[in-house]
Amino acid sequence: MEEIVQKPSNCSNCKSKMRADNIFCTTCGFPEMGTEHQRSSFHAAHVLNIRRSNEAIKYIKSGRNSLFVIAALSFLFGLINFFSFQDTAILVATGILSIIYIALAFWSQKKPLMAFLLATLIFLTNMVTNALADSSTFYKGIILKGVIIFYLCKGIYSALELRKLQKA
Amino acid sequence: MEKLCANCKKLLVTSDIFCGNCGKKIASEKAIVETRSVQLVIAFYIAYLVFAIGAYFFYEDSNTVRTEIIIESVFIVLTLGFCLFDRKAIIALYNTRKIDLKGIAFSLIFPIISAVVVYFGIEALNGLLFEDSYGYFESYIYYKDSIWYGILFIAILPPIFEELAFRGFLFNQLQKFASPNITIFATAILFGLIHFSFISFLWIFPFGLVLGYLRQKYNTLWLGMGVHFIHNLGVLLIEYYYFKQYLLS
Repeated sequence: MEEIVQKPSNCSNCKSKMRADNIFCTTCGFPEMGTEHQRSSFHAAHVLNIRRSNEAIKYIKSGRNSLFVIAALSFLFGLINFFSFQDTAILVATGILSIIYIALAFWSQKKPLMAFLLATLIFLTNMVTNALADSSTFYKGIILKGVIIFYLCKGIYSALELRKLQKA
Repeated sequence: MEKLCANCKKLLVTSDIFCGNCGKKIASEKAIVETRSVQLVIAFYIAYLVFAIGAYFFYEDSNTVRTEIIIESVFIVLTLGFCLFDRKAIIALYNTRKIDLKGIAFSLIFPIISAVVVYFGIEALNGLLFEDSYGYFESYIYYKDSIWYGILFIAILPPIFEELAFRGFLFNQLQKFASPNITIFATAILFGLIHFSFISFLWIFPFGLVLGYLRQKYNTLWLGMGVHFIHNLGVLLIEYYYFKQYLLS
């Protein structure tokens, strides 16, 4: 006797239309007509993706915090120079730089990839510019600079990861 | 448009994110392109940063025509090297299809105004903040036929190769993961930063915004190159004029 199996027309996970001969939903990958094992694997992968998204969001937050730290340190450096050597030019430059870092930190809530990319390149340029003016500044606070660059790069990577996961 | 699943060879349609037969996720081409573009942008900028450091020390060591030629040659090779990664899209930017009279008129008038504003504005700001003045032409005054070297190294070569590097390669890569407006903004920031001068940044950033806008609107490098050439030539000629006046007095 021939068994008639009625195939569902919509995916039970994302409600997208299913094509008749498909086992998996072509929109979310849910094994609508698959085995129990395939369904469990799908849910496990889904949980893993959520965890990866959360981790990416966490690193984006850390990157944002590091931007606030750079902004504060830049301004502090400008203030010290101003009060020690009456250097107005440095105060103005570091003040503008701090404003740029703060703006990028807020912008990273909307466009984290571009904000962190620009912040990293600005930070590197600033390091190089200072080192060209006074080579000893390159080594000053090298560990802190390393940590900041790490968080900014992690921010870029996490923003890319998040874009990939959101597209999925 | 249809394609095959790399895993089970089942026929897929373009809108499919997962294969309906084996459940494998179709590699998102856009995500791969985005990651590659971000890597290229970082590599491009760091390469120029390293180049700028090298050029700085090279200039410190000797400041002759030979030094200038070597540094410019390295810059040209570096720019052309990066452009090879995206040669088809960059070659396509050397077109005149969208250029109209309005664009040409703007590209002729704007740089004349910007040259005057930048020359006198930056001179005043330098005097105010640093109690000093520094010009383009200063580096060439000790050369024989200084004005011609100035024209070659300031007015001709930078517009050709900086436009190719920033509005060509960098712009193309950035727009793969950013909107047109953000691309214009980011290119202008990076273009300003690579000049390593806080004072210069104040005019190079808005100047870069205009160049980026022209690149985006007309989809060509010709107008940007024209604006950049007239601007640099304008500043150079004003400086040369005052230098001659100074010598005569």
